[in-house]
Amino acid sequence: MNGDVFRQIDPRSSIPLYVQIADRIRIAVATGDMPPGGALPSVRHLASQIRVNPATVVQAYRELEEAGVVESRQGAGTFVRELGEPKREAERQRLARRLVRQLLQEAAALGVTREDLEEALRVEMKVKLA
Amino acid sequence: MSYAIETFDLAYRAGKHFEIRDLALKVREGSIYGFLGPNGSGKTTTIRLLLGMLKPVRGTISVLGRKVPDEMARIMAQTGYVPERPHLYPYLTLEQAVRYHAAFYEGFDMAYAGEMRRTFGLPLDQKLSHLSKGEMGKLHMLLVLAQRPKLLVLDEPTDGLDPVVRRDVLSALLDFCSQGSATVFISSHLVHELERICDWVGVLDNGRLVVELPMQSFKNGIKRIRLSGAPSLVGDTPFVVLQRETTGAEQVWVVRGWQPPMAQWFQGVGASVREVVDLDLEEGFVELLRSSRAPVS
Amino acid sequence: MFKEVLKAQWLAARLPVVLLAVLAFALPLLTVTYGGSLENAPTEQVAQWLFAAQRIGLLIPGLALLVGLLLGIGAWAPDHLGKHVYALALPVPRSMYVMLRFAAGATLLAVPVVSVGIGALIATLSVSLPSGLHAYPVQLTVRFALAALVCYAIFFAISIATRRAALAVLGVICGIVLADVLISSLNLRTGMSVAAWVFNLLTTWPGPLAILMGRWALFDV
Repeated sequence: MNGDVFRQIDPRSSIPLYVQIADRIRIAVATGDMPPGGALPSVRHLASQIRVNPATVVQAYRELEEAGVVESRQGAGTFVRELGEPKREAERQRLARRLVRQLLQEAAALGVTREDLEEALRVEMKVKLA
Repeated sequence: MSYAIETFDLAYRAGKHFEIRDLALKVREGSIYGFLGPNGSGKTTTIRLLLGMLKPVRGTISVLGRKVPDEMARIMAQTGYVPERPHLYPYLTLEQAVRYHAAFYEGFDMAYAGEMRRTFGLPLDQKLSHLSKGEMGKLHMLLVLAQRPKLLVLDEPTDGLDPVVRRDVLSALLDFCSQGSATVFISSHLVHELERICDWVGVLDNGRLVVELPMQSFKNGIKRIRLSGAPSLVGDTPFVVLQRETTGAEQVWVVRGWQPPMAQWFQGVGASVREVVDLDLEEGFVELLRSSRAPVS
Repeated sequence: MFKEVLKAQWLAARLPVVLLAVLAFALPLLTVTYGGSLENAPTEQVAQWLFAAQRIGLLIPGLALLVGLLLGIGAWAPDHLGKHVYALALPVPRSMYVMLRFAAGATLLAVPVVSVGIGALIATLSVSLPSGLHAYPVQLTVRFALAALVCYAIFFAISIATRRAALAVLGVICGIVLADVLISSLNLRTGMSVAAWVFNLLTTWPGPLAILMGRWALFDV
């Protein structure tokens, strides 16, 4: 697990730290950076490495477990679940929606119109949108 | 709920005027409690009171379930203390200093101390007087963590240290915390640092505890709200108003204890909410202090 | 615990202890500068020698005072520098910590005491005394040990004292001096002196400094 991924964690953001951590793990799982069956870093290791309260890491892992992304095995640690393709696809779609949501929010803040966005997408993706 | 540190009605005065008043600290066992406050607010004095080094004018103090100052030796056997200024003997070498310290603590973990020494890159045979500030800071943390204490009381442990050393020291601290259920009471005026690691925060200003809340509540609860049409006279509000400012046609209010449904209150008084902005810990801290010193009318 | 406190105290006080030990070893030897055989010497020569020896010997109680002073104050010097924060944060009751420090300093006293003993023994062996004169190396060493210990205890106690208490002691001393100045300026001719009275009080048994008085002779009848 690459520690760089967690370097962007921002305690000043309104998003709670445990959500930020959980999100990054979700991304890593979705992209395959963290393969199914792979072990998550121990709470101890991660808390120390990114310098956050261990309870925060515990909370992140718990949320991931509740979402079915990881499972904790008594005494062994926390592991990425073997997600079937439909599950992984659902995860990717969730991430895609989030990316788009962010894009739309930023566009609104910058005054970029829907038309501007569509044009940009067309250019960047070289795809005609209906 | 058991508290690692609990004070009640604590007051202290050195000269004519009170340095600490009405202090009621409640530090939950296993939490990492950030004790925030501007310089001169009384953080170090409070810590000295907690550790029985100063005698309060009134009030009670209990640490790890025992009364201060009656059971001081027992309390200190399970407490790791890093004071504001270096206090070790400068003529000892690092190795001698570690052995000296170890002799007083029953559960001192020499292996752990050695491990940390290597991680920190501290030289064994260097006299303490020749250590840099950063090395001294690391040594202090090494000594208290190797005690494997139930409680850590850290008075500005990273003050004056460069960012790299600060990271190393905090990493070691968090590594220790995740091994067990120690309680950490850490005082600092470096708000950003505490933001990541503390789950509770207590703010001291002018000897008084202004707030004591879980970190998330504190951060989430303080918001800057942009409004238009806000009333000039305000009666009862569901939140605490810390600041009010008017800029042109808009007003900016800083409030504490905000919850989203409270937007309806504004509608009720004929105002409209334009924007609700989260303040980070530092901004929230500043606003809180500003308002506690000059309460809004 | 004691082992570490002793080690720390030794590391802090190494230099003065060694210097004092050298001095302690040298003084008894200095009292026999003549050396050689006095067995058949004329009485007058022996008397002169004895007088000179005892004169130098008077420095030995002074050394005991010095040893007590340096080790007594040295016991607390490292803690004073750090304003006692380290000591107060240790998980030992204050009383026990004070005892540890006292015992460590007292143990270091052994070094100059043993040196005096060795010096006195060598001095005794290097001189052949005429009949009627005896050497008292053991008594001298024991006396030195006791005197050093008493002085050590006194300066140790003064050293722990807070600034207020130390100022109080200073104030008392100034008061005594002022009183004497006053008395002499009044020209009462009573022959009284507060300082002399206090000195008497301290040095006649059961005054604490009594042990420094009396006979400090290595050689005597």
